[in-house]
Amino acid sequence: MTKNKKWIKGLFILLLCMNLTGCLPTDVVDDIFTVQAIGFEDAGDHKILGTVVAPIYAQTQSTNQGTGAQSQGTTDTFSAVSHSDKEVIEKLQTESQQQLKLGKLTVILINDTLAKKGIEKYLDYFNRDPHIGRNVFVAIVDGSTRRLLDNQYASNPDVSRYLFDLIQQNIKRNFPVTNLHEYFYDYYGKGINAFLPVLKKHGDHIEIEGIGLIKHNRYIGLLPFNKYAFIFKILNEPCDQGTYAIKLSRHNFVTVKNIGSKVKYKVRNGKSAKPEIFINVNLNGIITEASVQNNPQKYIKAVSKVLKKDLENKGKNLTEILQKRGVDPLGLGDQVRSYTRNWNEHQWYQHYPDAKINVNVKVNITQTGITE
Amino acid sequence: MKWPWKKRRKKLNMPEQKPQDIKELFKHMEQSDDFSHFKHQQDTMSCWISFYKTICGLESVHREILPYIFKNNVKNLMDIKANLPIEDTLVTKDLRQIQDKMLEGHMAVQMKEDDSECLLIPAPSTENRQVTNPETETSIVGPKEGFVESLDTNINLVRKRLPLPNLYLKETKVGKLSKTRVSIIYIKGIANQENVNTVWQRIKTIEFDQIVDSSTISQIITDSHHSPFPQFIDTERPDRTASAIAEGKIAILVDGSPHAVIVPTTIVDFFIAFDDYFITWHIASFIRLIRLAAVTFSVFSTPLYVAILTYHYEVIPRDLLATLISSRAVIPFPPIFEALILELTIELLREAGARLPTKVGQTIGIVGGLVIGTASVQAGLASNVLLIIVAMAGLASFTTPNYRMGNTIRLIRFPFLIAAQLWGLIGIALCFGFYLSHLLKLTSLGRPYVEPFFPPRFTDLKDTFIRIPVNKQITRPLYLRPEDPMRMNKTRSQEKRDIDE
Repeated sequence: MTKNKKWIKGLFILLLCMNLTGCLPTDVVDDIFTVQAIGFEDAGDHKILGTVVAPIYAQTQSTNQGTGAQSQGTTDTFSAVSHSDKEVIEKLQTESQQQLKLGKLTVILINDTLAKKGIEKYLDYFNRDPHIGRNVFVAIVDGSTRRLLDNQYASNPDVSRYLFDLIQQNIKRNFPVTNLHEYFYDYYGKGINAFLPVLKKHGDHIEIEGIGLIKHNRYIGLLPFNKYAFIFKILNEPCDQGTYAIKLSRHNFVTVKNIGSKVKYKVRNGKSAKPEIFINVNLNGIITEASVQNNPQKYIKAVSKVLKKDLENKGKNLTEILQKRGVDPLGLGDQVRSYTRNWNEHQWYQHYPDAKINVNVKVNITQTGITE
Repeated sequence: MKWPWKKRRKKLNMPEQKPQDIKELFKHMEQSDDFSHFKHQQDTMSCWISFYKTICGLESVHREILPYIFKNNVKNLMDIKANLPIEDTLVTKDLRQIQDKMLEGHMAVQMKEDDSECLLIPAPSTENRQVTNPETETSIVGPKEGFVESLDTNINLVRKRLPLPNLYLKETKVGKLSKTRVSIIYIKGIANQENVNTVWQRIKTIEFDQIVDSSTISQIITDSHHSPFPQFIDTERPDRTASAIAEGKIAILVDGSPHAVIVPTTIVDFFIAFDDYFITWHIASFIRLIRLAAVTFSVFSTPLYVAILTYHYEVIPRDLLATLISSRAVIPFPPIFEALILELTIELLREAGARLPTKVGQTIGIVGGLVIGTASVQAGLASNVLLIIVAMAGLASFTTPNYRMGNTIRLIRFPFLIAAQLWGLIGIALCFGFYLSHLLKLTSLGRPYVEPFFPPRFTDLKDTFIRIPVNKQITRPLYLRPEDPMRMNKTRSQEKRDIDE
């Protein structure tokens, strides 16, 4: 008898579970619009204009001729003006055929005028939503985000895809690593400031203009890509790709490919008014493009020497700019903190502009390509 | 509480007929038309002969028994017994014994019709299938012998692989009506005596009317009757049986069944094809890992499809999103119905293929696989991505070497599917947890079912998904608690002797 009752109890619980969960809201993948890029811009009067891009995958009878339905869909773009980012999305739902879902969001764009007023407000929602991944790219747009998003680009009709791949492939090469997670790490971290890529619509293409410096939640300035991205990357993190062109003489340029660089920091007198920071970069490279030369060994030596000097100058230049602006996207304060007892953030920022920063690059060129 | 279907059944006992003497017994037997009862006469000598024509070999009766009965002058049954060139003859008055023996194919000889004393001469007909290839456990290399329906032939097949006096055989009769001969075979001194006692006791206490096959026995003596997982493995390969016995397991052979049941078993055994032992260990391990992956894929692929497409669109890679959405765009059903339809179609095809004769069965596979599959995709009833997944899952489930485990895997996919629809990935995890706890509790002859993994027995991992080389397998499985745990001498087994000087 007791055994019977146990069975009935079990069955009852199972039935209850099914009843309770039977009406769970579902997000069947073809019944939603997956928002993949979202952009905010200043609409004046404390309002923002939000634009979302959702790809529309072919709804046609694409099943007939076997090969499947890999047809490149078009994208649908919605825009609305409102006070907050969440409100914008709610407003956009009223125009959308299917529910707009943010789970596959890959790019968040913020217009530069809005970014100058403060960024965190617009990212907070994405930071809280568990559906949104952490490898979402955040970027500042020089110009209107709506114009950038609501456009058909030749390389990919899906603009969100274009943006994602653009940033992704540059991170693999010359651009320092950035995404939502890194942004918030830098933003909330002590002795470190965030940076974001700055994009610009350039005719039929989108271009990375450079590294946007963020200070106290506001976008304050731009480091041009061509000049500073490579040196920023090798000072910021170990990397194993990227190319750099240097000028040997007036008409003699040479391109060096980075095949692995490591950066090490050393700090002296961290608490004093004039802390000393040594940034030691160890760079292995290969020469990929060079004019004809007779003696490769000698040539390599010469190139190494020039490259070392050039990079050290650039590094010095970069740190000077950062010190002048009072921002620290390289996280020097964080490095000092790890060397210094009772480190104090407030004090550090007072000392930072006077800090002595030495950039020391060790260049090791291993080969000049497969021809002599 | 009284269940309406549990009403007491009328007791339907067979009419109790206990013949009082031999005359009555033969009279009772004569009611069956295949019973012969006649007076055999030669010169002055005569005797009464009775037997069942259908279970005695008539040829041997005519050629080897009848000519010898009156060879010399006979006065009594002992004289006849001395005349016959046949062993195992028996003179008895015991009615019970006479009846049993005659039903097994013995011939009864009496001097006079109402003599209570009988000479029983064995003359059973040996109608047998030839020993042929195993049907379900085919192998590419290795022995090609399979068990047949005759118990004696099967024991012969095992015993000739293990010519040991220690190979013990215990036989009993099970089944009120069928009186099936059931024997257990083990090696005394290797097999754990506790295991032997347990299995022997379970067989002895079987209360059932008809034992048709060894699977009936294994179903009755199994530890848990509610589990969908088979707890004893059955094999039709004598080589596999012999090697299991040599490991310290016990084989149950049933007359009339071409399958031996091997006890106790762990879950890993069901994923081992005996072929694995005929190839080198790297390849065997690779194949076993593929099989494991195939089973995992077969169980989880469709539920994952349902769960992800219904609840978790976030985890779909960007590049796959376009393919999935556009293949699903025209489907009118939610993913669960789509999946159920296709899964059931595959099950139908399997069942139809299994029930049909071989030649027609192949056509069914082609008709089902190609025609129904492509047609349903073209008609927009199923998405082609799911069709690929379901077909691959079906294919993967065929890699399970054991038929019973294959059936179990077929079944357990459906709870996973339903859980995936109800709770998404959490449902799959829940369902998996449910099965896992069930497996952890399961025993086979009192020994843990998922043994080398839990409880963890590292020495037994040597023959699971990675099979280490044969000469490194020096111990018998620990979970069997063998009385002699060493297979061979460790140092001598590792030596390589090229030239002995």
